[in-house]
Amino acid sequence: MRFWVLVVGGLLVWAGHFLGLYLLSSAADVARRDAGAWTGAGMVFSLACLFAVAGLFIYAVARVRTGPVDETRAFGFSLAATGAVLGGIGVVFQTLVLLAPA
Amino acid sequence: MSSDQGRDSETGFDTELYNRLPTTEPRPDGELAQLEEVWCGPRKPWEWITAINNNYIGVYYVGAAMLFFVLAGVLALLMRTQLAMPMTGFLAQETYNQIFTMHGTVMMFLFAVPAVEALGVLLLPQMLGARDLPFPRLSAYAFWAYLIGGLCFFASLFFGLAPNGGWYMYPPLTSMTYSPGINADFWLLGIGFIEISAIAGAIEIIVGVLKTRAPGMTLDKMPIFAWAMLIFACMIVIAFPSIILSTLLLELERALGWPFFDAAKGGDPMLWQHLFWFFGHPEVYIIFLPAAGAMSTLIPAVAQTKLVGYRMVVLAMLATGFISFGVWAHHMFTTGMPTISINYFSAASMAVSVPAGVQVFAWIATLAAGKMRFNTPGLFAVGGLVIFVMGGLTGVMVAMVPFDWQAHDSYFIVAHLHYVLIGGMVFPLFAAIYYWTPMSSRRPLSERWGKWIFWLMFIGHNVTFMPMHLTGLMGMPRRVYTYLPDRGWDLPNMISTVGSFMFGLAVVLWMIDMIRNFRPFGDRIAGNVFGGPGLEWLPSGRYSLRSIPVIKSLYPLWDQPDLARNVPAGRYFLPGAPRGERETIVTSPINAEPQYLQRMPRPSSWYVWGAIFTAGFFLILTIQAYAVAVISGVLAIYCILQWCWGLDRPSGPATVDIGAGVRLPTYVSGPSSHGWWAMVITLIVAGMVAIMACFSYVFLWSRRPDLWAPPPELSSLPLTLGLLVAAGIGGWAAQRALKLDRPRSARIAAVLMLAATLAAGGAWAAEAWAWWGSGLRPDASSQGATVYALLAWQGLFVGIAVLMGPFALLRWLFGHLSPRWPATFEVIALFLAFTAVQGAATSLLVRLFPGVGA
Repeated sequence: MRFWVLVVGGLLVWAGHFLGLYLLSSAADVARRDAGAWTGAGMVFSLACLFAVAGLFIYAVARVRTGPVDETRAFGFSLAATGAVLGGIGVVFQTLVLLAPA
Repeated sequence: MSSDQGRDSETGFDTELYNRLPTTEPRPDGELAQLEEVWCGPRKPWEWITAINNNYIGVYYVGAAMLFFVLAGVLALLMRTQLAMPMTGFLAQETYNQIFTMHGTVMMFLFAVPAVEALGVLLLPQMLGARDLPFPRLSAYAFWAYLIGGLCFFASLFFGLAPNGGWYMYPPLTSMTYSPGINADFWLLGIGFIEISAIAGAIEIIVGVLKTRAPGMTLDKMPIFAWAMLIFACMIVIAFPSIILSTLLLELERALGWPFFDAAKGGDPMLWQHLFWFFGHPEVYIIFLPAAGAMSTLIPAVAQTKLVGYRMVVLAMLATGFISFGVWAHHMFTTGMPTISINYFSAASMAVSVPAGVQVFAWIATLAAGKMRFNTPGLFAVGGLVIFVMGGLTGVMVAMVPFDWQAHDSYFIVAHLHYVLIGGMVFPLFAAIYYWTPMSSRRPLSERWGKWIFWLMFIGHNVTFMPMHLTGLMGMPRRVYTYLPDRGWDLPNMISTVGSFMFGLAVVLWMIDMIRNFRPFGDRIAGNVFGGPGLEWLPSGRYSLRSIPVIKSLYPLWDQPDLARNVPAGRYFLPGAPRGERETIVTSPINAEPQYLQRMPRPSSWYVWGAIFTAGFFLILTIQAYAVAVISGVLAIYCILQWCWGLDRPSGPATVDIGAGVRLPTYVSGPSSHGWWAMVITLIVAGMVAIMACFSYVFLWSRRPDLWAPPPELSSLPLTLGLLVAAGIGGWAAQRALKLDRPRSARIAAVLMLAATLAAGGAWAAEAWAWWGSGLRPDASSQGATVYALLAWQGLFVGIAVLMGPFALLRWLFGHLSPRWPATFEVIALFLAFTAVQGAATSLLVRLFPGVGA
C-alpha cells in the first residue's frame, strides 16, 4: 500500500487541495462573513499542500539516487517524483484563483 | 520458495527460479488434451448461455454493447430526420423527448461504459497471460444482468413509456409533479441497476489486473491497456456510487414523497446536479481512458515502434483519473454557484486538458518515430486523434466561464461533446475492433471495406457535427424538437442530417463486414496480422495461453521472440491442468510474483438465473407490481446464495508443481487472496455511497438550516454504538476463533458470527426506533428524508449481514467450515466491520451535526 500511496501521492495532494479549497469556499458561502479570513485559510492550506508535494518529490528523488532499487521500484519512484511536480503545479494553479480579484 | 535474495521481492518468492524456464523436457502425453477438455466450450444449446469463459462472455459483451450502439444510432437518425427542416412533423414532441433521452442514455450507459468494460473482459486475460479473469461467474452475472436490463429498458420506447427528461434527468422536471408517469422510474431503476452491473465488472477488472498477471510482468512491464483498464475501473468504483445514490434518492422522492429535491420541504434540485455530475463528468474520462489505452497499444503496432513516453502516458492517465473528479461543477456554471467555486472548477477544467494532451503528443511522437502504416486500425486511430483534439479545444473554450454562459445548452455543446466522445471513444473502439478481431475470429475484417467505412465515418462525423458549432453560436438551443424557419438554422441543420446518414451508412457497412468475416469461437484464429507485440497475439485456445510465460519486457513478442515457440509448446508455467480443474496463477500486485494457484469455477446456471431475477426485481418495481418484484428479489437472493454455497471449498493437494519444480499453494486467505481484494473494493463502493449520502445531509442542511429539528436524546446513542462495536469485534473474533484450529473452533466461530450479525441488526433497530420516537418523519422535511435514507442504506447492509450469519452457521452444520479454509469467515468479518463503522459514522453525523437544537 505504501508503494501505491507514494506513486499517486502528488496527485492525492492535488485532489485533497482541490477538495479542501472547495469546502473552504462552501463554508465561507454558508458563513457569509469575514471573506478575508477564509481566503487566508485557503492560502495557509495551499502552502501546506505545496510543502507536502515538495517533501514527496525530495523523498522520491532521494530514493532513486541513493538506490539500489530494482526497475519496478525505480519506475514507481519516478512516477512519484513526476506526479509530485504535476501535483505542485496543480496546487499553484488552483491557488491562483484565490489571488485573483473577485 | 523464499530466498534471501528477496530484498526487492514483494512476497519472498525467489525470482531466480524464473531462470529454470523455458523447460526443455518433453511434455507428458495427453497434457494438452486434458487442458482442452477442462476448458472445453459449450456442447449443448443451454451451455452457450451458461458459458463463463472470457472468450465467450467477452464476445457476447462487445456484441451487446455494439447492438445498443446501433439502436441508439437509429434514434439519432430519427432525430436528425426530424430536425432536417424547420417545423417538420416527422416526430411528435413527446416522442422526440423520449428519443433524445434514450439516445443519450443508451449511448452513455448501455454502449460506452459496457463496450470498454467488454473490451477489457475479452482482452485482459490473454494480454496478461492469465487463463481467465478471477471471477468469471461475476463477469457472466454482470453481462446477463446488463443485457436483460438493457433490452427491457430500451423496449420501454415501444410502449411510449421511455424516460423523457434528458439523460441527466434533472429534477424538478423529473419529479412526480412534472413527470407523473412511470417513464422516469424506468430510467431511475433501470440505470441504477445497470450501474451495479458496471461496478461488478470493475471489481473483476481491478482484481484481474492486479492479481493475475503473468510472472515477471511487473508494473513497469504492464501493458498500457491494462494500466488504462485499472485506472478506468478504479474511477468507476469512486464515481458510480454517486449515480446509484442519486437515482435511489430521486426514486424515493417519487415513490414515497421523501423531499430530497423538493424546495418546498427543504430539498434542493442542486443536490441532484452535484451528485449526477460527480458521476457524469468522470464518466467522460471513464470511457475515454480505456479507449486511450487501446490507442496507446495499437499505435505502436501500427507504427511498428515502441510507445514514446510510456512512463509519462501512465502518469497522464493517473492524472486524468484524479483531475476528472475536480471538474463536475463545470456543467453547473449557469446555476448561480458562488463565483469562487466556479473559478476553482474552471481552473481544474482547463488543467485536465494537460494530461490528455500528453497522451496525444505521445501518440503523435510514436507515429512520427515509427513507420506509419495506413491500415484500417491506423486510420481509425489517426482519425480519432484529430477529432478528439478538435473536441478538446472546444472543451477548453467552454471551460472559460464567460464563454460557457453564452454557449450553455446550445448546439455548440452538442457539437463539443460529440467531438470528444466520438473522437475519444468511438473511433478508438473501431480501431480496436479492426485491430483485435483477428485475435478471436477465424478471419480478420476486410481492409478494403474498413477503409471505406473509416472515410465515410470520418467525413460523416465532421459533416454532422462541424456545422453544429455554428448552429449553436447562432442561438439554436439543445433538446428542441423543431424550430422556426428564417433563423439561419435551416442550412446547417440540413447539412448535419446529411452527415448523420453518411455516418449511419458507415455503421451499416461495418455490420455487413462483421457478418461476412467475423467467425468467433472456432479452433483457429486469424492471428497477429498487424504485428502486435502483446501476449494476446500468441497462439491460444479457450484456456488462453498453453503455458504462462515469464515476462521480461513491455513488448514481449518483439523482445522475447522465443515465446512464440515455447509458450504453445508448454515450456513455461502451468502447461496443463495439474489438478484436472480450471486454474490460473495468482500473482502479487506490484512484481507479479507467483503466490498461489486459483481454482476457477466451471459453468452452472445459478448466476444466469441470479441475473434474470435481479433484473426482474428492478424492472417489475418500475411497473409497481410490488409483490411480484419481491418474489423476483427473493429468487435472486436464493440463486446468489446457491452460487456462494460452492465457494471456498478447496480440494486436492495443498501444493502443486506448476512447472520447472516450482510449487505453489492451492489455497490462501487474507490479503493475498483474490476474494479478500474483491470484498475490499466492494466495501469501497459502499463507503462512497455512504460518503455521498453524508454530503447530501450536510448540503441540504446548509440550504435550509431553519427546518432542522433536534435529533433524539443522546442517551439512546450508547446502545447503538455499543451494539455496533459488539458486531465489529464479534465478526473479528469469529474468524480468529476459526483459525485457532481447536476441536470446537468451527462451532464457536459459527455461533460468534451469528451473534455478531444479530448485534448489527440490533444496533440498526435501536437507531431506527430512536429516530421514529423523535417524531421526525421521512416525508416531512429534507432532514427526515436524508436521515431515513441513511438508515435505509445501513439497513441494507444489516440485512445482508443477517443473511450472512445463518449462512455461516449452515456452512458449519453441513461441514463446509474448517480452520484450514477461513476465507469465507474473513470476508464476512470484513463486511461486518465495515457495517459497524458505517453505522457508527452515520449515526454520529446525524445525531451530532449540526448540534442539538441547531
